[in-house]
Amino acid sequence: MNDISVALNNDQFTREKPRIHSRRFSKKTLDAIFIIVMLAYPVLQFVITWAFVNFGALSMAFNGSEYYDDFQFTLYNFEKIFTDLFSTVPDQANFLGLNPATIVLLNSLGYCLITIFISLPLSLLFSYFLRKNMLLANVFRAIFFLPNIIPIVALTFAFRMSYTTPFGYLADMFEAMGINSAKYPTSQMLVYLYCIWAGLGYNIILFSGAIGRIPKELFESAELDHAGYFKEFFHVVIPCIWPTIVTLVVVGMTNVLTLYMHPYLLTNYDRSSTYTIALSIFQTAGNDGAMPNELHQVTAYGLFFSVIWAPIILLVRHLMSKKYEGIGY
Amino acid sequence: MKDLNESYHPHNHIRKKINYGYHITKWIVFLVFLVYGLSLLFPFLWMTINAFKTTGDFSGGNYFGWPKEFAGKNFIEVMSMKVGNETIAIMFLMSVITTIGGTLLNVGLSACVAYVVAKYKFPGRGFLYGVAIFSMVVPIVGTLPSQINMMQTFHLDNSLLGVFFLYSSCFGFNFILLYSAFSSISNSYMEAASVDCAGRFKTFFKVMLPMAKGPIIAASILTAIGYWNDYQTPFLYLPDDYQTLAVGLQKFQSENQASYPMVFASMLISIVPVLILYVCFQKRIIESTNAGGLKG
Repeated sequence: MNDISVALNNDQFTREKPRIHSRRFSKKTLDAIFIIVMLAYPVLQFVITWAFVNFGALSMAFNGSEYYDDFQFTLYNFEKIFTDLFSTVPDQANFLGLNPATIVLLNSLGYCLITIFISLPLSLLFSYFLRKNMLLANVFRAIFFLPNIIPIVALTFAFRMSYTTPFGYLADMFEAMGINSAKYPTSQMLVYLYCIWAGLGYNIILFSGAIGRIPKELFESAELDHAGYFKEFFHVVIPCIWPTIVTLVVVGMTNVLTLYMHPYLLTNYDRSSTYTIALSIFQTAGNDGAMPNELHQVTAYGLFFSVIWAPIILLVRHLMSKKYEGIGY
Repeated sequence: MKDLNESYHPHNHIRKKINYGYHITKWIVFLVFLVYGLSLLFPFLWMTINAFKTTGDFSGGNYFGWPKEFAGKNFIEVMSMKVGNETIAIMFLMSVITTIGGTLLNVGLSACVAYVVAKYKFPGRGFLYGVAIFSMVVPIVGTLPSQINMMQTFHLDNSLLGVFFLYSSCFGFNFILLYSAFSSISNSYMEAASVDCAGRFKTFFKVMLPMAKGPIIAASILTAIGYWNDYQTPFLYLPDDYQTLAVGLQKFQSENQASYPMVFASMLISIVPVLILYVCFQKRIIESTNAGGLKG
C-alpha cells in the first residue's frame, strides 16, 4: 500500500513538473521567446540589408558630390540619363548611327522580345510534344535542362568555342550557308542566340509541369472531336496553362532590367556593342577604380528604369491574368 | 470484330489522314529535339575529348579527332596552375567552402523562418510572407553600388564572412518552398510533441524538420547548384587570391588560350560536381523547379 502511494506521489510529481514550468512562463511567453529566437537573425539581416541598400541607393541617386562620405543634393544624375539618350553623338561601331545610351536600351529590350516571342513559344511547343508519348521524352527533358545546372562560365565558354577560329564549327556552318562569319552574326545576335539555346530548358520544365496537370479528360474529349495538334494546342493547352505563361512573360520582362551575365561572359573583348542596363551598372560598380559620381550616376540610372519598367510589368501581368480568368492547372 | 467496326466507321478516312499527319509531325518534332539535344551535348563531349589531348596535339590541328596520346594528367596538372597567386585547387576548395557553408546557412535559416511563419500566429506574420513575394516579383536594379558601399561600411568586403552574410538572406525562393512544406504538415504532430513534453525547439528539430526532409533536400540541392555557379557575389566580395572556380575560371580561360586542353580540363572540373548532383537528384531538382515556378 505504501509502495503504491509512493508510486502515485512520484507520478503526480512527474506530471506536475510541466505545470510548475508553465506557471513560471505562460504558453504565450514561451511562444514569443521561440518566435523571437527563430526570427532574430533573419529579420535583422533582412532589415539591415534592405534599409541600408535601398535608402543608400536613394541617397546615392540624388548625390552630386564627387567625394566619398559627402552629400550634395542634385537631379543631375537623372538629367544625364536624358541627355545621354538624346545625344546626337553616335556610337562609332553602330551602323545605324545610334548613340550608345539608345543601344544599351535596345539591347536590354531585345531580351524581353526574344524571350516572349521566340523562347516562350518554342519551349511551349517543345513541352507540348514531350507530353505526346514522344520517344525518349524523359531523356530529352533531362538534356534540355542541363544549361540550368552547368556553371554559366563553362556554358558560355563552350558556346563561345563553337565560333572561335580555327576550330569553331558554328562559324564553319555559317560560312557553308554563305554567311560571312566575320560580320554575321554580330556579337549581340550571338548573345541572343545563346539566350534562346540555353534558356529553353527552364521554361520547358515549367510548361511540362503545367501541361501534366491538365485533366486527361480534356485531351480525350479533344481527341473525340477529332481536334488535331493545332486545335488541341490552342483551344486546350494554352487556356489551361495560361497562369504559367503569364509568370514566364513576367520573368522575360524582368530580364530587361536584370540580365547582364550573358553579354558579360560571352563578349569578352567586344563588350561595348552588347551592353545592357544591368551590365552598365555591374561594370561600374565592380570596378575598384570607379569614381563616386560614376557610382551615383549608375545608381540613378538603375532606379530610374526600375521605376519606369516595374509598373509596366505589373500592368502586363494584370491584363494578361484577366484573359482565361478562373482557368489554370 | 475490331476490323469490322473500324471499316464501318463513317469518319475512318479522316482518322487515317489525321494519323498520318500526327505521325509525320511527331517524327519531324523528334528530329528537332534530337538536333537541339545534340547541340547542347556536343560542345561538352567535344571539350571532354579535347581535354585529354596534349597541347601540341590540339594546337597542331587535331580539333575533331581522338587524342593521339591520352593525356589524363591534364586534370592533375591543371589543379596546380595559377590565376594570379591562386591555384585551381584553391579555387575548387573555395567553391566547396562557399557552397556548403552558404547552403547550410541559407536553407537552415529559411527553414527556421518558414516554420515560424507557417505554424505560429503573431503580428507581422502576413507582412513577412508579403515581403518575400514582393522581393521576388519586383526587380529593383541600381542598388548594387549601394550594396558594395554597405559591405565596405561593415568591413564585410574582401572576406568570406561577407559572402556568407549575403548568402544568409532567407526571404526568397527557399522560404516560399519550405513555407508551403511546413503549412502542409498537420498541426497535430506539434500538439502530440507538446503532450510528450517536448519543447518548441525540440519539436522543430526532432519532429518537424525530419518531416519536411524532402523539400529541405530539394531546396539544398538547388541552392548548392546556385552557389557553386554564382559569379557576382564571390567576384565582388571575395579577396582576389581566394576566388571560387566560377570566377577564377573566367580569368584562367582568358589568360591561357595557348593551352586549350588545360582550359577544357579546368571547365570540366567545375562541371563534374554539379553534374553528379544532377544525375543523382534529377527528378527532385526538376520537381522543385516546377514547384518554385508555380509560386510566381
